Amino acid sequence: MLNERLLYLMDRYVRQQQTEAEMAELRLMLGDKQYEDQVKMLIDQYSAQGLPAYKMREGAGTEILETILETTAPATQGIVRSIRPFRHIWWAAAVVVLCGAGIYLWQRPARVEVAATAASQPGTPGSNKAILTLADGAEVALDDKGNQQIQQGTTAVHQQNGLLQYHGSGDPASVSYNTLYVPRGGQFQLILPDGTKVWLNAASRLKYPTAFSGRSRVVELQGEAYFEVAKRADQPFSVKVNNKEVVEVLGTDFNIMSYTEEVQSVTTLVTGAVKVISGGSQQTLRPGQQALVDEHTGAMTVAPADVDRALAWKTGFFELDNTDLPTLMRQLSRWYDVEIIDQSKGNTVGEFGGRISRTLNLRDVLHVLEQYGVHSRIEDNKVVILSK
Amino acid sequence: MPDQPDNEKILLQRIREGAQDAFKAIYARYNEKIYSLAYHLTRSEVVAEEIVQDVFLKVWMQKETLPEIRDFESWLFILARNYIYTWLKTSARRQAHEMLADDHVSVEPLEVDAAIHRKELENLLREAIRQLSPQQQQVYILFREEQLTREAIAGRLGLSSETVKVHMSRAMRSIRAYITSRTPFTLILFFLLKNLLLFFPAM
Repeated sequence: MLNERLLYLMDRYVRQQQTEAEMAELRLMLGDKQYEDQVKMLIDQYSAQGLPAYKMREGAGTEILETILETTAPATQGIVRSIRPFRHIWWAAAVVVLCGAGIYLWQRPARVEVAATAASQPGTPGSNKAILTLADGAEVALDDKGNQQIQQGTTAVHQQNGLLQYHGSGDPASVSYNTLYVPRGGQFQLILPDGTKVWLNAASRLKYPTAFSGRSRVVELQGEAYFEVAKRADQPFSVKVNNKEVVEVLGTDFNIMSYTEEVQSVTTLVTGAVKVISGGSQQTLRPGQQALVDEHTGAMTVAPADVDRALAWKTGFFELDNTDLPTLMRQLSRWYDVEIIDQSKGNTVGEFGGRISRTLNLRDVLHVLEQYGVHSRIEDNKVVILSK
Repeated sequence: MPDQPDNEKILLQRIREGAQDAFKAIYARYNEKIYSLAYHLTRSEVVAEEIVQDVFLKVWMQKETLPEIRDFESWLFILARNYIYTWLKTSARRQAHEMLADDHVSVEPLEVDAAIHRKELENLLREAIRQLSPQQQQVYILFREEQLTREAIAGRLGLSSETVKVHMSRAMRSIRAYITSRTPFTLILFFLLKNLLLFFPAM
């Protein structure tokens, strides 16, 4: 159902007859996610009803065409990621937007402060850290400052800051398994022996062989990870998720969110193709789609995905889109390594939209939520949600 | 053209194989319609041109999947509509924000690794500048680094102010396409709108 007021204001605007007050009112509506569908519908209507043919500035049409062909010339396929993991787009990270009743909070990029926060301080954002378990059971703690070489039989493992990389093919005769565990409040990046890149989110675990031999490449995941799988047509890659579903891929980029405390696991495909197998059924995803598997029943559905949203964690955000408070709180709990105690008795506002930078301190995030009627208090390593 | 849909299928198939002439044909068929829609709703020539660029850049970047699209025209217009919507939304929010008092936000900003991220993006920007033509590079650098006005750049390089404008607009377009095609996030639009288009008059 179209909002009459929106229709009126848009009409005034496209005719350029709007007053300043009407423009301000229209801006509030345009900026409000609640009206997204309606605004889109309106644009479709303008598109369908036939428009005056506006002329592009002279030469612009050709210029655009040439620009597209030239800048993509040595033709990279799909998307090239020059922006490295966890190095999110700096300006966006400094923006906090929470859209409630048409109110937007924006944070300006301010002074750059060097991280001087003690890791033990509650509410400090997560950082690069992980625990590597070697084949013989030995554990190596990895943090952001580390720079070391770990020799395991014939396999060399190199850690540089938040990245762990396996070199060489190793000796296929002596394949052994390593596990990288990222605790709550952590994240880490891994390059497997075949060149596959994996970004692990907080509270996640990946088990993998130190060399991929045999007919397939199999890794096991609990939690959340983003994969950029190295292409090897003769050796398919698959991910076993929570010992239940299996994601089979050739060469492709995708995200799997499979925290057991969430109601469903979600596999989101960015490029390439993957097949998700759960219980007796299997589905092939196309780019921009996601498979949702119910944690309990294993039932699977395929739906269009909001890819930016699924990858927001990797870019440094909590992305909210009709997200309820418990879901948001579970995300905060994993990233800030805090326990959430909900004393609100369900007495809190419904759903949130917008995005929050993961570089903020927990205190600041809660402060923003406060403005949306979520009252809370930090006690040691706990966040208590108050009823009012 | 009665056989247009079939003809279009062939074009899309050929684009998939990387045929630039097929891409040009599709571009010629739709670019003005998309421009008109974008201009009608954004009321800005610059923004409407950018939307055309983003839409067709996307078409070109995902050429592998084009033949799988059932109704290309609808798909294309949905793409355009989404870009237009995103612009309307972000521009509305930005302007609404500018009208709010700054102290409306009381959250203390702590952007720990802002410097690093900035560096990443700057690297990408540097690469983008490197692939400009020498003259575009010169103009861009004088404008951005030395903060010269268009007239001053024209004087320095012995070009007409109009020529400088053309170089500048080509440079901007090219940088924008370079960066958007190399980052998966549409959000980059924000950055570009805010930081690269300073040369152009504000909306």
